[in-house]
Formats: sequence, structure tokens, C-alpha cells
Amino acid sequence: MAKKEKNKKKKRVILMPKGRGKLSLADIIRAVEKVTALREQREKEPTVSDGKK
Amino acid sequence: MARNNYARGVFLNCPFDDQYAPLFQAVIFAVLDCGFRPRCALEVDDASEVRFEKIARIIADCKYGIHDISRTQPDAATGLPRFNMPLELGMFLAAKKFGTGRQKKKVCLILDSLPYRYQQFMSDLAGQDIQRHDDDPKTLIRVVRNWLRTASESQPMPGGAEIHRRYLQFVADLPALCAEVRLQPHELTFADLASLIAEWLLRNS
Repeated sequence: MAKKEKNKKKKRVILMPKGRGKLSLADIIRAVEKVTALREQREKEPTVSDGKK
Repeated sequence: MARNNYARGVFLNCPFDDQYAPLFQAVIFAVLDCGFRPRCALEVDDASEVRFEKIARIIADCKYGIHDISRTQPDAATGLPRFNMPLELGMFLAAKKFGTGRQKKKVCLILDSLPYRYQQFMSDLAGQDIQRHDDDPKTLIRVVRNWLRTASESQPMPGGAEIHRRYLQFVADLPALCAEVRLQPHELTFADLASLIAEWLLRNS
């Protein structure tokens, strides 16, 4: 039971890769934030027209 | 810390050509989404380090290895097959066989595009469990995920279908991501692509 509880508490992690590319981490974070926000906004918009102009 | 790096490191020994790019992208995505760190020869651009030494160092740093031996056809430019992947698989297996300490705990996944084909060109591998991916990113993601789940035991991770769903979303976002950083997708280095995927997963999981 204690082991079960311990497993439940384990969080999934995403590890940052090693190595240096052309992009800075700041550029990457900014791009991901912007593209994700735009997509989420698009997904919230109604896909069926309400007939109004 | 170094110990944790080793236990989460996955050495990628895969083709780097354009035709394989979607599969390479899929395997990087799956490894990161499962909570591991993909490593490969492309991560370092240091001309002062001999390539073989660089590969040996990365292999020594990784407990896990994914080796895709599917690229058997001759290179279009030279008419000769490429032997780097079998060589690096041999290095990984030798590290496990002849190494000491944590090197003995190495685990690897060997992949080919078709079942049993390897018996015709690498028959010494007979008896090893070779998995097929059918040149399909969805199959590859499922195989990599299930293998990492089994090999690492305690690591909580999403299912293959969920990782693939996220992968498709990332692929759909990639042109816009590249436009934001003013690069073409083919201009992304391994480190750039892996960092984009990692940040994307942090924001979208």
C-alpha cells in the first residue's frame, strides 16, 4: 500500500536535451509559448458559423 | 547527478538522412515524452574531438540504446551501404559485454523496418529480440514507449496512442515554431529540435 502511494506521487518529468544548437533557450520558450497560445485560441473559436456577418 | 544522467540517457543510433527524418523526429519525441534524454552523435559540434571518441563517450554516458539497423540499401551517392549503425551497435553491445560497473546494466532496443530481415544481413544477432517499425512513426513510438516502460520498470509514462497524438500535434505546430525562430525545419540541429520538443511537451502536457 505504501509503495502504491509512493508510485502515485511520482511526477512525470521532461528532461532538457544536451548539446548546443543555433537557438537560445529564450527563443525556444518564446516560440513555443506563442504558437501554443495561438493554437489554443484557434481551438476555442467556434467552428460553425452562426449565420451573422 | 551523473548517475541520474546515465539512468535517463538514451543513445540514438539511427539514420540521419532526409527519408528517415519523420522517424527520427518520432523517436526523439517518444524518448522525451517518456521522461528520458535522447543523446546522439549530432549533439556535439566539436571538430577537436575525434568522431569515434565522441560516440564512445556518449555511449558510455547512456544506460539505454536505440539502434535502427533498417538502412541497408546502398547510399545514392556512393553506391555503397553505410556501416556506421552496425558499428555503433557493436560498440554498445561491447560496452555491455566487456565494460564494468554500470556499463554491464546497459539495455538496448534493436529495430528494423521488416521482421526477420536482419537474419539475412546480420545473422549474428539471431537470438536477440529485434523489433519492427514498418517505417511508421506510430508503430515506432509504441515500440519505443513499451520498451522504455519495460526496461525502466518504475517510470510513469503515457501510453503509445497518447504520445502519438501529441506527436501529431507537435508536427502540426512545427512549421509555425520554425517560422517564429526564423529557420526552416531542415535547418534545425538535433539540439534545436530536441529542445523545441522538450519545451513543447512542458507547455502542452
